[in-house]
Amino acid sequence: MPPLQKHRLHWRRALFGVTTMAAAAAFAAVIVPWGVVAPRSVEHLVLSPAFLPYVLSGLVGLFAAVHAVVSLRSPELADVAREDDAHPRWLSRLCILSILLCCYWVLPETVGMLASAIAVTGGLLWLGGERRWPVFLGIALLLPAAIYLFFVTVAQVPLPTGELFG
Amino acid sequence: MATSLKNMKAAVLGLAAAAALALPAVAADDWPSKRLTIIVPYSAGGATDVLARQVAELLGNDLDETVTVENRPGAGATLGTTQAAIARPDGYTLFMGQVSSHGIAPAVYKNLQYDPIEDFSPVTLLISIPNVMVVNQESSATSVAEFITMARDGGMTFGSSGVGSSIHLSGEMFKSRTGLELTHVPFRGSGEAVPALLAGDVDVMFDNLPSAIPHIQSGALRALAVTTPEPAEALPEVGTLSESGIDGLEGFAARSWFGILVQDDVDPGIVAKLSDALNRVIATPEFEAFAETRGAQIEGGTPQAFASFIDEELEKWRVVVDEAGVSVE
Amino acid sequence: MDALLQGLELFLSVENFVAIAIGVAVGVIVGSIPGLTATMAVALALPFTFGLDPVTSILLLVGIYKGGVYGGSITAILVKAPGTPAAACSVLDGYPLAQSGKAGKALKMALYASCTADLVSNLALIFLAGTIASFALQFGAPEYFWLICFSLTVVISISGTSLLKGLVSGLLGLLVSTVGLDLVYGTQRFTFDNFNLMSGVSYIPLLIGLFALPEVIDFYLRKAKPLAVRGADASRVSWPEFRRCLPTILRGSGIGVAIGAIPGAGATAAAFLSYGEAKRTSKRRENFGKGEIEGVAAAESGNNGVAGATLIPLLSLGIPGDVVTAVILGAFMLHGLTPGPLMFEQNLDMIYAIFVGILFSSVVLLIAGSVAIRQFVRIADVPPHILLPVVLLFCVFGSYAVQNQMFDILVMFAFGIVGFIMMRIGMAAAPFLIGFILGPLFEDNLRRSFLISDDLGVFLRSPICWIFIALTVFSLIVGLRREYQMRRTAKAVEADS
Repeated sequence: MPPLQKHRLHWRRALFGVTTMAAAAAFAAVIVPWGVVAPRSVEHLVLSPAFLPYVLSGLVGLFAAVHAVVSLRSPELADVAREDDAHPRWLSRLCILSILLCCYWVLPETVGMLASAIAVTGGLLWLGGERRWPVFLGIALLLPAAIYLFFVTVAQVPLPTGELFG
Repeated sequence: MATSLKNMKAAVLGLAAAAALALPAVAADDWPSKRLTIIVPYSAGGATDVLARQVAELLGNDLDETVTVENRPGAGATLGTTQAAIARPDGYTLFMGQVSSHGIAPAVYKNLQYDPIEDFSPVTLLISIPNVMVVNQESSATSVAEFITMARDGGMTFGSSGVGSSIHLSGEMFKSRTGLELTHVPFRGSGEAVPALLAGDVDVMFDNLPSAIPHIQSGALRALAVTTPEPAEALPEVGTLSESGIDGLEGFAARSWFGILVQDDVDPGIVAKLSDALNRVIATPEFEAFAETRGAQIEGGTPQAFASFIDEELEKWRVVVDEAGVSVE
Repeated sequence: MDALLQGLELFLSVENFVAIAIGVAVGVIVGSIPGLTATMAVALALPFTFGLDPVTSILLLVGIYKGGVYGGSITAILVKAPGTPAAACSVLDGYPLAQSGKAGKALKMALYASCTADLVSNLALIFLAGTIASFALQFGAPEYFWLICFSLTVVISISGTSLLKGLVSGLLGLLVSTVGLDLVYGTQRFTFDNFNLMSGVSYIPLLIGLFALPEVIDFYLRKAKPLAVRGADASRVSWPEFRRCLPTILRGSGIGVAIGAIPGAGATAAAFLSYGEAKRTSKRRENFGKGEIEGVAAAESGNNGVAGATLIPLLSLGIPGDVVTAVILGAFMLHGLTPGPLMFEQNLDMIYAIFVGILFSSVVLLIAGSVAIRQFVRIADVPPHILLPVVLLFCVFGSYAVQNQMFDILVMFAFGIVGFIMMRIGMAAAPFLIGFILGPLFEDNLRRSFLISDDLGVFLRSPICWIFIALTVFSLIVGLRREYQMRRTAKAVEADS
């Protein structure tokens, strides 16, 4: 690995350590008092509901600090030599993927789980580069229908039918 | 969140009410004409679920319709109860109510998303299960009075299946009635709490009868009293707390119970039909045998009786929860 | 002796054989589907047992349970979506093996390890039930606390390339486990008035999200690779390989039996403990996490060793150690039987009949597993752009099925994103999971110890406490030293090249 990259790598690690430390501190200072309701009087410190969250965020901060110091003092070699094989249009693909995943969360309540599953599976197949229509028909239509039937009838899971068809 | 749910519910109710007004008589006559569902606010395999599955099978036979069980667990039964409350009030979605959803939870959770009285119409109380005050066989207490004398010295603990369970609140009720200082040690379920009692890590527990009875029979645990006003059929020789003769314990009544409810706007004709069917179900030999193996008392009765029973329960647990200070803001 | 003969007679009926066969088969299928757990299958099967003979119905349920515990490993190895929580550990080495075209080998080793452990567990149940049960009862809150501390040291072994990141990952898992209503006071912790979070973050959606979803996301963001056609996978486990893994399997079985007998600890902890021990003592520990067959053997023997042992507290004391055994207890009671010491006196023949049936189920598991593997291994040949949408479909349906709540799908996606980020920054996900699973046990028992006694001496009250303190310290020192040495040799090798 060229020296320049090595240099950048250990700075990146130090940055990770510092960011984590800051996050841990913010968590202990803001989120814990806000999110944990502690009773007014507690017999032992350990019995307080906020005890473990404070200890844990403290430890995260501590380990992150050690990490930062270690990476600055002794720059190790790369964890994994990660070749850059990101998809050329990874950003637009990430957007499509996010939209498809959101469909699984938003759609089932209105159009039902089956229709959502067919839509998302079809979308993902297309995104993955599948263009043969018999495969489409089988994987995006028949398979979700079969799995849906299995869950609903055999496993008796009441998957949402959707308000439109309910 | 709460408002949007209420709006949604109002809309659903409005639609249903309109439909019910249009064809009131037909609704009850035709019922049931499709599959019924019992919503259980606990996971598959739990005590409530097993009861619901037994009821579903027998009710299905009685009505000649399929009855299925839907588990909607989470947040100490409150999630499933909310979902049952906003279900379509057509008499096809039943709810397996219990001491938590219609007794303890409304007292414990200050911001519940359902109203145990406004949102539901009680149908039939099915069974009740006494709790039983048990100590380790090596404990020197052989009666409630002896236990209280020992506990006056302090340092005693009582186990439970979790904060806000009937086991926990029976203990809290006992504490506040007798003025004793007992430390509550919560576990996750009776299955974890009973071993602690067997090992002597906690001193007493007001366990549900079915999980305690094998250990009482084998002699590992000693039953001091049951928490219901009358002795339990499964343990006829064990007295009640109410009649133990100790000041403050008169009228002590704490038990787990299970009953079917439907949404508030269900046609009264359907409620009556369903109630009749359920009363037939719990009178079958199969159900009697089932109840016996669980140490349960078969209850039955009219929707009105169940409604006033729920009123009493809500009031009783509210007092206990307020005194014990275990509410969730 | 009479009772034994009567028991045999009770067992030798066609119904019993059929019940075990159906049970195991159903269990393997259900167990292999993420989100559908053995617990659900056992609960769903319970009504079918109303009309059956007591022995037959118990054997049916036990068969489902055992099949389910094994079945989870199949999808864990093939598509990195553990079918059951306990199979999460099998992902660590099973999935890399499958990726390198050795899915068949990994699956077969998982099966052999499972069946061996199952057999050991059953033998322990039959011959040592009484001894083990009284040992299990000695585990009060302080003993439990130290056991969990010992289990947490496993994090060192499963941290992957960066120990510090692994530790942070474990701590974050512990932190997520604190979400929900507080055990002692019932107050809210990080729930922010959301009722869906009050009983905590759901376990299975978190697990599926953390492991399976990052693979899906990653696939779509990478350059399309030429399809790696692997062909029908015929790799198998050779006899020397099995013999090499046998000590690991036996140790894993032992760990499984010990953990299974203690109510509430669970198969997941056993699998990870077994894995950690195997890695600590193995000559090939550098290879762990990259596709080491011994790792699969360790994980699977650990979680299957639990299956028979959870029946120990149930049968000998009448205490259900987990939800599955609680349902089986329900089945006993439906037939008017109460497990416990009394049953050994009054219905010994029935106990023996059940024992014989359970022993037989290990054999059935081997057969059913072999058949299942032959079918499932074809999944390895499906091109990823077709396989992954279907995996996602199962993940979504499975997450929903756990509690029948849409919210759990959101939980799965959220932890999918967390898992993806962790993957990109080289932070191992396994410590997160172990922290999440052990977190409540750690905290509950710590606080319970304080409730039971005001005296700090309660943490040192018994020999069991001392043993686990010693084990924890030993494991920490040895584990950290080994990691340090491994890194140094790795560095030296890299510097040489």
